[in-house]
Amino acid sequence: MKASGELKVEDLRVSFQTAQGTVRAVNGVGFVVKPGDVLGVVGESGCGKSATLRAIAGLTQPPGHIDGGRVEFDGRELTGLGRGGLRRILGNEIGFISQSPFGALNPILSIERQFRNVIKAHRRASARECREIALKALRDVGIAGPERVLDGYAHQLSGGMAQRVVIAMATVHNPQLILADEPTTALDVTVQRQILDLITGLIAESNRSMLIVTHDLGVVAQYCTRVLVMYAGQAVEEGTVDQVFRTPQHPYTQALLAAVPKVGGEIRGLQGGLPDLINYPSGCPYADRCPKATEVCVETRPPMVRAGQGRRTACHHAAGEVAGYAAARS
Amino acid sequence: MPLLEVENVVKTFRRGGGPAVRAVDDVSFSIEAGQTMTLIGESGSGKSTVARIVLGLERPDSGRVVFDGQDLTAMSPRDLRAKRSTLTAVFQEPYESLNPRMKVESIVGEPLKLFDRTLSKAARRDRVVASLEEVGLGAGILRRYPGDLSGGQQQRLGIARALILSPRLIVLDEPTSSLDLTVRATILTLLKELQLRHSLTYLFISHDIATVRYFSTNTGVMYLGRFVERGPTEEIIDDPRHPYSVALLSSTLSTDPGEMKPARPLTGDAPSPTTRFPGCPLVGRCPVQVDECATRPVPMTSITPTRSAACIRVRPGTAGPERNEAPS
Amino acid sequence: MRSTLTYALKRLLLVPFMLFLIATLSFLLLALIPGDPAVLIVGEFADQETLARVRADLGLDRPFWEQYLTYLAAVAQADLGQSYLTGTPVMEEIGQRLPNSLVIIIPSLLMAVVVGTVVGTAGGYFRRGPVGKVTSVLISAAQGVPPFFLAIVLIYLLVFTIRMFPVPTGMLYSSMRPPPEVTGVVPLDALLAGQWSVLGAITAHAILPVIATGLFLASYFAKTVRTSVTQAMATPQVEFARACGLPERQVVRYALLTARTSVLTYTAVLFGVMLSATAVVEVVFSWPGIGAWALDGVLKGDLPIIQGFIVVTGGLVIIAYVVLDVLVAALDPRIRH
Repeated sequence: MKASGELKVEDLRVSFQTAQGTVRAVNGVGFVVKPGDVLGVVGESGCGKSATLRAIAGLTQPPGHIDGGRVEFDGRELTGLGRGGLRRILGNEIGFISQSPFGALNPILSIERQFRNVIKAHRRASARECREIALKALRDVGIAGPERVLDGYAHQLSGGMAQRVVIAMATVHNPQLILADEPTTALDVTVQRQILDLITGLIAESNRSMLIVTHDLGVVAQYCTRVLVMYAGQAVEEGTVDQVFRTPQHPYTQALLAAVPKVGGEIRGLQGGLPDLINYPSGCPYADRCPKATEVCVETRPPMVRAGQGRRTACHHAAGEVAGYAAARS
Repeated sequence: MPLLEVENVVKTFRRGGGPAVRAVDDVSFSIEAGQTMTLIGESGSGKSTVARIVLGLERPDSGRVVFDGQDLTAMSPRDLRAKRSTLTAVFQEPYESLNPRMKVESIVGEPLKLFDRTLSKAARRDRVVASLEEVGLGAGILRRYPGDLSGGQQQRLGIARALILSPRLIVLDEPTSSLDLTVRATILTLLKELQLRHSLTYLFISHDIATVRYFSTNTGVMYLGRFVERGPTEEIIDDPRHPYSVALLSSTLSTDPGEMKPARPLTGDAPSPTTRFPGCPLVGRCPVQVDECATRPVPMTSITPTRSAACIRVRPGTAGPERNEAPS
Repeated sequence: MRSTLTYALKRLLLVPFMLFLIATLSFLLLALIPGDPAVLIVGEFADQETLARVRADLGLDRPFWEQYLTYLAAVAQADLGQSYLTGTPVMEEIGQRLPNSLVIIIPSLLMAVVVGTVVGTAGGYFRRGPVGKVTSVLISAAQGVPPFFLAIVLIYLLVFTIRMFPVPTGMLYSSMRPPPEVTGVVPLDALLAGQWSVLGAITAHAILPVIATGLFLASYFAKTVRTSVTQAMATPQVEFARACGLPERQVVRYALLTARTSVLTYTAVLFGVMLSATAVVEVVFSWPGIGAWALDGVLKGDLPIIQGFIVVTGGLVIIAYVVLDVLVAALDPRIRH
């Protein structure tokens, strides 16, 4: 079998046990990330994008629980691997970049110690070799004085530097797939672009792939090749960035894009809120906020279906919307 | 006459005998009644400290804050408190600025209780309901607690409370940055509506450029406690002159795929806030700096009657350095 | 490293000042307590003349501030006065008894740190499984049982039923002769005289009180460690460590690193608490320590003993806190730099 580094997620379901009941955070999400793809998973708080990312990496923590679905990476199923098997893949074949670099780095151990632990988790190396590898990794992420960084501690770094260190650690074993959870949200805007250029540069170099979870449509528009829009634990639309941003088919995607302030344009917000994730609606979760909703939307949940070349959407009324929306926008 | 004038305000913080941090360094601007002035900048730029000084929550070391013809910095705390009825604020984290143990009615009615003791309970309730309706919330939530409400509703509650005394100026300190995109849009449109209806004046603090363009008439760009550029919002966003504004604006990502602005990054990260700069604070990070920048003080200089910038390479009537010497 | 040293010196400079505060406090506290020491010494039925003489001897007839200054001067020279009732110098008594107490306190603290960390880590890491449930019950039980009660149960089971340990009648067997007196501190004298059998006897007698105190203390350590580890396991730091593929034992080590400061703090706090709280256990085991002696002094209203006890234990606690601060700073790079 060809080792492709492809990530395939099928019908993923994650729930959280709370005092009020079981919150259905992810409800049957599926997608594929092919080598070379940068997939942006985008949505607002409570849409299940972070829970999806964590479930893929086996990082779901109680009270969260993976109720079902398959996660396949490079031809192997990850969900059944167990902690030990997953450990050999995480950090080695799949890299993870977290939101806050100061949260991710250990404040008490030196950067060199942490690097050494990460390197030794997947290969045999002496302390000297580890230092060499770490120095190279730091240079690769654009850090000019890597020795000083390596000898220091997390708190001595600026936000941008710390995130570079996190990226260097996450990619030190050259993973084929990178999972990034809001990698620039905690950073200043003038640093954000440097970091995104860096990460996507690493991907493009060697035909690797990335899944990036974000609430920032700008990040998706400028740095992703494909996008998956999530709402209330479901995927509602997927396609290339051009397709989805220029001709959004799902009413929620349209609402999301309409909320972005544009030059000379008005903005439109969205009234109402998320459906009850404990007593999850049997129909379309967006039905009660959707201007196009009809009876069928309340009764049956629309599945994700093909809606053109390389794109899918989950809406009973999506057909025929494409041309209409494009016309209205131009 | 402008409704608010901030003149040469300086504020220094000193923590535990450490070196002083100039949080606000010689900042001046004014807002005409009915307009919106935005302060934009990254964390540590001093924009929130300016807001706190305008609100009287922080006393400046020097400089004046003139509101409606009166110098707030020269007022006694008691007079200042009375003035607070026409000068209110909406803060970033709606939930944290609302007392979770108080019911909606008490939260929104609290300012009335402080400033108008003669009001009967029934009259107060009428005013609270009117204020709630202004922000799109009904009387139905009077007996609810803030914890029962969504993030957007909580921020509406914060706005209702700010509105109840019929203020003239509202300081909006990142009022939407903790909200989701679609909720943010509803709050921004609401704030705009309210401004038109009551001819409100806003001092808007933000780090989100897309929002600023939609929202404000004038903008001041702040870096390390100083103004680096000031002028009409459209002009600053479309044609920034100061190298820092250029970098800040080019770093925002357009939501239009394929419309990537060329990056004009600064080198390195922001210096420690205790660093003192005899010249320009952007020295060391600036792509167009000359030797002189490190030593020569850079006051705000007029470019046009409505615009000014603090860069020795920006002169009246000329284009900014990034235009004639743009790196290819 | 250098900054840690200056930090340590700065903290040490504070010690004399704090000792002065404690001495003042102990003087004021007892000067304000009603009751006439002279009556205590010569009895209720003594005549006025005797009482006046005793008061003059004690300096109680002099002005208040003069008494205070005299007291401070004495404390500065390590003179804590004499017991009203026995006449022995308080400092000498403390010097002999304090080490005996430390023979119990230090091993039980060490035991508590080790047992508490292990149990607390297991409890925090497996908090949702059976291990978590069991440790949770164990911790609550150990916290609920006072050390003296545990001591009595241990004595009943291990001394009188299966005769594993010696009868709790002090540090030595009743047939044993104490080592030749050099310092007055029995364990130290035994060591100086090379009497290993005496040292063995002390150890044998110390085991049960150490277990009784140690288990009680361990429950508190276990509880803080469990809380810290539970919180740490949910941090992005632990998530990132896992996402980098670190082995679980290393992930737990990362989590424990964050718990370290609270364990150290607890050690210092409990050390201070134990200096006085060992009294009950010392009474149960007839252990010649400082706690039982001070308790006796308190019950009899023997002021110099109470004052001396406050000054010495207060001083020890201050030193423990300084050591704690310096250790925390030395171990945490965020404070160190």
